[in-house]
Amino acid sequence: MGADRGNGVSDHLIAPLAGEDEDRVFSKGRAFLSRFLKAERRIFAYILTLLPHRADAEDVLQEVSVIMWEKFDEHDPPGDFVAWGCRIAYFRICDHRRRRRRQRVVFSESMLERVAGTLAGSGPLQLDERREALGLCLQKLGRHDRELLAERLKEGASTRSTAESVGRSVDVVYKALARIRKALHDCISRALAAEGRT
Amino acid sequence: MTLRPDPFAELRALIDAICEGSASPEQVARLEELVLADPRAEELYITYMHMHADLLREFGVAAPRFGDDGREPPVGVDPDRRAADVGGPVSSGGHPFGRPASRGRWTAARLVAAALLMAATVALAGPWIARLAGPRAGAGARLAASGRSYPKVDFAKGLAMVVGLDRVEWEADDAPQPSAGDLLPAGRFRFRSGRATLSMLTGVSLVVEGPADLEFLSHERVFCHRGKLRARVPEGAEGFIVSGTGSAVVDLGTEFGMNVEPDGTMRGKVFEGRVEAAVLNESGTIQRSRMMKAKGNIFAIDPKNSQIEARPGADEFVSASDLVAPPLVLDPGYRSAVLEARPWAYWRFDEITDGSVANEVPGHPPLRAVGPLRLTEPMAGNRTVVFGPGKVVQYLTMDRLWHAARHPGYAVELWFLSEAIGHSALVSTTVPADTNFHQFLLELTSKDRGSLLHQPASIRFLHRCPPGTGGGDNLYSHNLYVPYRWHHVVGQINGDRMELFIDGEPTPPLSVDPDDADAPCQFLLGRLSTVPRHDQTWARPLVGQMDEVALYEHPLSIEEIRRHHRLGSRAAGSE
Repeated sequence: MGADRGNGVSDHLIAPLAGEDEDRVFSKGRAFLSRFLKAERRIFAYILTLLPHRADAEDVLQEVSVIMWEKFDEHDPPGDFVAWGCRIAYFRICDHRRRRRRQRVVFSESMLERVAGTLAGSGPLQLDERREALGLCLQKLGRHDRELLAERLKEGASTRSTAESVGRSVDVVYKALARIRKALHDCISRALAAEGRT
Repeated sequence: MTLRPDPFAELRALIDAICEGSASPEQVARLEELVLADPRAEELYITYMHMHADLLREFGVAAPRFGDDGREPPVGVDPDRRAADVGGPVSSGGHPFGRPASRGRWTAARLVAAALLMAATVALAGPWIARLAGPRAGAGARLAASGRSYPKVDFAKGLAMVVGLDRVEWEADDAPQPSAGDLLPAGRFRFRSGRATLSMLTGVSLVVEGPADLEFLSHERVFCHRGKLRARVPEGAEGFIVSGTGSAVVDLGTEFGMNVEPDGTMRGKVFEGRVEAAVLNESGTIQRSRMMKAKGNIFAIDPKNSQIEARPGADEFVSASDLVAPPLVLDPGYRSAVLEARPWAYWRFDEITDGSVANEVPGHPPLRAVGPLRLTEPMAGNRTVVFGPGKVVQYLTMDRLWHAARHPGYAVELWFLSEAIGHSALVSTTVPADTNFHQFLLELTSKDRGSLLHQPASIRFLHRCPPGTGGGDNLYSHNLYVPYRWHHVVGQINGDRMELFIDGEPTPPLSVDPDDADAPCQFLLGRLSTVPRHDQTWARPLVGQMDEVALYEHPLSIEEIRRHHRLGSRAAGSE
C-alpha cells in the first residue's frame, strides 16, 4: 500500500514560512526574549557557580539558551522562567562535567547537588538585591581599581595579560584583584544590612 | 587594637584562585571540603561567584539591550552607549566603566536577540523548520555569522550524521555549519580543531580530531585528506574503507585508528579485529597490501615508496568515543499525565526486583527481565533500563499474551536512547510466542545490506496481518533518530490508520485494512525475538536505554502525545 498523505501534514511541515507562521515565530520570539533578557544574568551566575570556568560557563549558557528557545511554549510559559532555565542548566552542567573530566575545576556530584539545592531555594541569599547593590558599590571603587577590574575581566584577558598591560607584576595584580573582590563583597553586605535586608 | 582574624580567609583565597583560573585540583578539593562542611562557607562561595558572574557581565561582554518595559538598566550602564574602547583607561568624566566591544564569543542573549531581529526569519525559524521537517539542530548549535542554519540533507542523500561536536572550530566561519543531528551529504567535512563524533548511516562510528579534512564518498568509503580518526565498524558493515592519496585501509570487522598526512602517508593501529592496509595504484586499485591485526605494532603506509611496514612506535591515536548518555529527566507531573491517559500497562523501571519490573497499573502484569539488563543510577529520581552491547540475549517481556482490540485501536509509547545508528528492535510482538512471526514492530533502521529498501536512521513502524516473517504495512518517521539523544515514540493503530509520532511530531499516517484482526501476541522490548540466535533475522538487539513504556487499549490523541513529550523533555532539554 502506498503512503497515505491524509490531511497533507507532510506538505504543511516542510512548506516555507509565510504569513501566519511568520507571525507565530515572531510572537514566540518576543515572548521568549522579554523573559530571557531579564533572566540571563541569573542563569549565567547559576552556571558559573556550579561550573566556575568562564569559557565553559559561556558554552553551557549558549547550549541552555538554545534548548530553552526550542522548548519554550508561549501559550504555556514556565511560571518561574529563571528556575526553569536553571533546571535545564543543571543537567547540561552534569553532562558537561562528564565530558570534561580533564578540566581542572570539576566539582564532585556532592558539591553540585548541595549548591544546586541551595540555589533552588536562594531567597534568603537575596541574590537579586545583591546584584542591585553591586552597581552602587562599583561606583564607590577608586578609578584605578575600576580600570584594573575592567582590564582583567574583558574578553580573553588573564592575570598575566593584565599585569603586562598595567605594567605591574602578576603577584601584585592578583592581590589587588583579591582585595577589590573582598571590598565589593563587603560593601554589598553592608548595603543590604543598612537597608535591614540581612 | 587587635583585628579579629577572618574565619573565611582561606576560603576567600581559594575562591580568588577559582576566579583567576589558577586553582589546582587540590585547591578545588579543599574548597569543596570547606563549603560542604559549613553553610556559611557555602553562602560565601555562592555570593562571591554570583558577584563574579555579574562583574563578568558588566565588564566582560556588552550587555543585551533592554526591552521597552521601562526597566532601569543596572547602575552605571548606559544602554544607548555603543561599545567603548577596548582595554584602554576609562575617562572619569564619562561613565565610570566602559563597555568593551564583544568580539568572538556571543552571549546567549545576543544570539537570540540577533536571530529575532534579522530581516529574514530563517535564522529564527530555521530551528523551528528543522525541528518539524528533520533532525533537530540540538544543543550547541551555532548560527553562522550570516544567520543561515545548516541546510537540511534528505536521508536519500545523507551519508553520515553528526553525533557530537566537542569544541570544534570550523574552517570557514561564515558558512553554515552542521550540528549534532544533522546529516552530511557526499563532500568535504573540514574543521581546524576540536573533536567530532560522526556516524555513517551504516552504523560505522568515526571519531575525528582536528585539524581534519575528510571527504565522504559513499556509505562505505571516506577519503581522508588529512587528520586523525578512529573508526569502529559494527558487524554487517565490514569492508568500510578509509583512503588517502595512494593509500587505503579496508576494515575487516574491527576498530582502528588512523593518522593521515596530506601526502597520503598513514600511520595506523588496530585496536580490535583486523584491517587490510594497502598502497594503491594510480587507478585506485590495490598494488600492495598487508593484513594487520589487533595488539600488533603500529603500521605505516608510504605510498610514495610503495611500502607498508609494521613497526614499534608510540604514536598517539584518537581515543575512543567518550560520549555519555544523558539522563532522561522527567517533569514531576509526567507519571500523572500518563495515568490520566488510562494505560493498560505502564512500566517506569524504577527498580528490578527478582527480575521483575512492576506495572504502575494495579492488577496488570509486570515485565520480566531476561539477560544482563540493569538500571541506571537515579538521576533526579528517575532510572532507565540499559541494554548493553555484546552477543547476549536480553529483553523484557510479559508472561502473558497481550491482546489489544483492533477497534478503536491501541498504542505503544516509550522513550529510548540508542548508542549508535543500527538496525535494532524497540518493541516487537510475535504470534505465536517465541517465533519471528511479527504482528507489530517498532524498530530503528540503518543502511545495512539486508534492508536496502528501508529508510535509514529512522524509526520504522511495521504492522503485519496475518503475523509472519514478511510483508505488511510500513511507516517511517519523518525525523531521524540521533544517537545519545532521548526520543519519545508513539506507534498506534487508530481505526483504519497506522500512526507514528516521534518527539511529539506526527508522521503522515498510513491506511490499513479495517477488517484485519490482531491476535493475542507475545510482547518484547529491546529484541526482535526470544530465539537465542544472533543474526538480523532473530536478534536486532537494542544497545542503549529505554524508559516509561506504556501500552494503551485505545489510540492516544495528539494533545496527549505532545503533552507527554513536553513533560519528558522540558526539564533537562532531552530531545
